[in-house]
Amino acid sequence: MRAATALAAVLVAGSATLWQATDGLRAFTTEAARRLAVEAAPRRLPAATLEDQDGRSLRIADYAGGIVLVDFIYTRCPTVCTQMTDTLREVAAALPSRLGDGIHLLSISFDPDNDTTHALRDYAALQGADPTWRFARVVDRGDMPDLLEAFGVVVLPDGFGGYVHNAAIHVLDAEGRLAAIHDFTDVEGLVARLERTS
Amino acid sequence: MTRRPLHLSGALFAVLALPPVARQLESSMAGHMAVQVPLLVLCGILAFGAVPESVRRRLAAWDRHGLVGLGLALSAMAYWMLPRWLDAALADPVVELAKFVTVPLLWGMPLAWAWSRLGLVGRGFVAAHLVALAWVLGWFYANAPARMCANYLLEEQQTLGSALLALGTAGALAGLLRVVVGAPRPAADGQPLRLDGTHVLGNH
Repeated sequence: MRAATALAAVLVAGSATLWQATDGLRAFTTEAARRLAVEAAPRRLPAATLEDQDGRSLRIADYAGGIVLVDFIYTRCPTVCTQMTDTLREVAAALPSRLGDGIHLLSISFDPDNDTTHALRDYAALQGADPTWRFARVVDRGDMPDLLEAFGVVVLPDGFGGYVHNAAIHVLDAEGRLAAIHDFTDVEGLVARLERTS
Repeated sequence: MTRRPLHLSGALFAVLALPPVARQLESSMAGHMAVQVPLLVLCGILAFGAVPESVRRRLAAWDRHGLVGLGLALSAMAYWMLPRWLDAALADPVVELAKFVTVPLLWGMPLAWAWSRLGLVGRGFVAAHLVALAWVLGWFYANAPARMCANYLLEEQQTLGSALLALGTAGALAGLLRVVVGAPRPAADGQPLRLDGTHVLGNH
């Protein structure tokens, strides 16, 4: 009887711990966990000063009252950054009347050493970006780690001069908080979310 | 009771806990998951050799067949194989500390205890389970197109996959060898050996 009780206790405790550790079997990876976490509790972001492709200064707080779609890129990225840019362009095309008026697009480079304002301007032109879409870099490089950590973005050198990073589209709510994270190809999901906020 | 396993365990643990050693092992996914974590499990297995017979007898009253220990070890193993907690151990010192404490205590020691109590069928089940798990995880990590851990590159994940496939194969070959050649050298009193090399406690 004692053995059965001990076994039952261990099985219950083990199952409960694993349930808790995976958010109810929904998040086995850090990426999945951060998406659930921000949906459950929107996250305040640090007040980093950025500069865009035209050298204009901006802060995330400047967008208060609007919805901002944010992705993290580096302009030499040959793969996933371009796909994120495509996704943002498709979302913008689905809601043309609200772009720049309630809905804003912001691409932040995590490679400020190489991504000068000139490089960002070239990238924006190459991608055919709408003029209201801002491509930005941090003014103070010391702000980058806190900004990445707040968003939950991990950037690793790929060993070939480029970077590997978790790619996603981040949605900031009207209070400037990180409120949702979508797959970087989830055009439909993003459009549906934005339509709900109209 | 002998102090030697405890000294060995303590020495191994101290080396693994040295910041340069920990950083080096954790710098690659294979070093983290296929070297550091198994060595921490080994710390627990060795430490169990120093548990006094009186304690073992009391444990046996609660877990005669080792199933409680096995349940505890498998739960801890499942937890520390979750990619998000390997990531968290790299980012959060509290989680890192929890890993160094719980892997030996809740995975290694219960596994050694369970092994000492399990019968032949039970041991065969555990061994087959571990080999199959290493192969399945190895195949998954070697072929998954996406990164499971935010802190490791895809190439490192594939290396871990190959390492787990090799570990699983080595385990399977070792098991096969035991079946073909026979059990390893029994102790002088005819009792089989535990995972930590000490004698198995008789039933009480």
